[in-house]
Amino acid sequence: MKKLFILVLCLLLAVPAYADVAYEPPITDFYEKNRALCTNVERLYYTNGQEGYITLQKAPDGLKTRYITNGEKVEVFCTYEDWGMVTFLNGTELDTPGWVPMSELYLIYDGISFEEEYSHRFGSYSGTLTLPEGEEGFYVYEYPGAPDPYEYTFKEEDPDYGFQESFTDSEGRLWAFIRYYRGLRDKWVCIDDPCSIIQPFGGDPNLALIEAETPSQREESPVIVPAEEPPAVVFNPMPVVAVALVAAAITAAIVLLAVCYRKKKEG
Amino acid sequence: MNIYLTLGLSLALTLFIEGILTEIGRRPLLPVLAANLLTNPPLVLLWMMLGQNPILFILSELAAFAIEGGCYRLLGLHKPFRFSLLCNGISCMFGIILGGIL
Repeated sequence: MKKLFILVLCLLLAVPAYADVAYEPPITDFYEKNRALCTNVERLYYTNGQEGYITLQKAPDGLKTRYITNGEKVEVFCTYEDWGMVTFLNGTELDTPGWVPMSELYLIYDGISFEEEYSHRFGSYSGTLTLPEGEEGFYVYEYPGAPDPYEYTFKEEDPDYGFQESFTDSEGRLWAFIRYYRGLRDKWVCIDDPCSIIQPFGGDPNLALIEAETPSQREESPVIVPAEEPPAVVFNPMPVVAVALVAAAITAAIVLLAVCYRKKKEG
Repeated sequence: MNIYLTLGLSLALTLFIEGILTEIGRRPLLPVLAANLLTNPPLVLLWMMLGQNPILFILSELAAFAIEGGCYRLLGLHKPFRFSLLCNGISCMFGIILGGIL
């Protein structure tokens, strides 16, 4: 019982440590051999194949493994030349990552996109965060006005949160950037209105349209190619030499079985 | 892994394991090797070409069990389907373990 308690305690202690461990995808043959040539990405994309779906492959130009209809959210862990390695589909990790041409993915606007677009307007910020009376939490955003902000509990003992850059939006609100603070990484806080959910501001002109639409409506989006039902079964054209070898094996097996059968009849 | 290497390794492993089980089970070796040569290459090739789907894997194992069992019955082996089930179950288990390692 005591050992079990210690084990449970160790597992519980391991949880916060795990949160800071970098994600490592399942190791596939191709990734293992070409890891040094891969560029880390870890960003979200919409599937956007020309045929209305994308085809994941075991390796760039390799065997097909599965289809994903357009408009789904996938995470690309890394790229190799013009190919991306998809590791997550709608937040669920794939058992086996698949490769797809990057031209068949549409980048979802994120914090990096925001920084690329607005970094020339960034200033420095060395102030603190003060919440209105009675408030205990504030919202953190991937970028100012980003959808799905989440609430973070205010820590009075350390109100500067390691703020670095600042940004003033078109409404005149001041935002401050947290590079890293106790599990918060690359997040923005609205200093002027930290406890309200700020509506989307700026960013990708297509973002609001895409985010607001249902998957069926999204088919009519000007950005994503309308989704098409992919074939029910993945089919790879069979290499002629492999088919010939298998046919030879079957022929040899039939001959051997016939010999055995004749022997049995004679015996 | 290369398609030819997969085909070769899978067949070699199956023949090796089922060969040992045949010796232990005191059954004739040639029919067992022939039946595996009949089922293993086409099923592995189909599985690879059709997206390496887990359901397809189970179906192909069931097909191998049925076809090999039928061959053994035709050739008069003792308890053909039970023997086929045992051989395919064990070689499948080794295949999964080896697939995970490789």
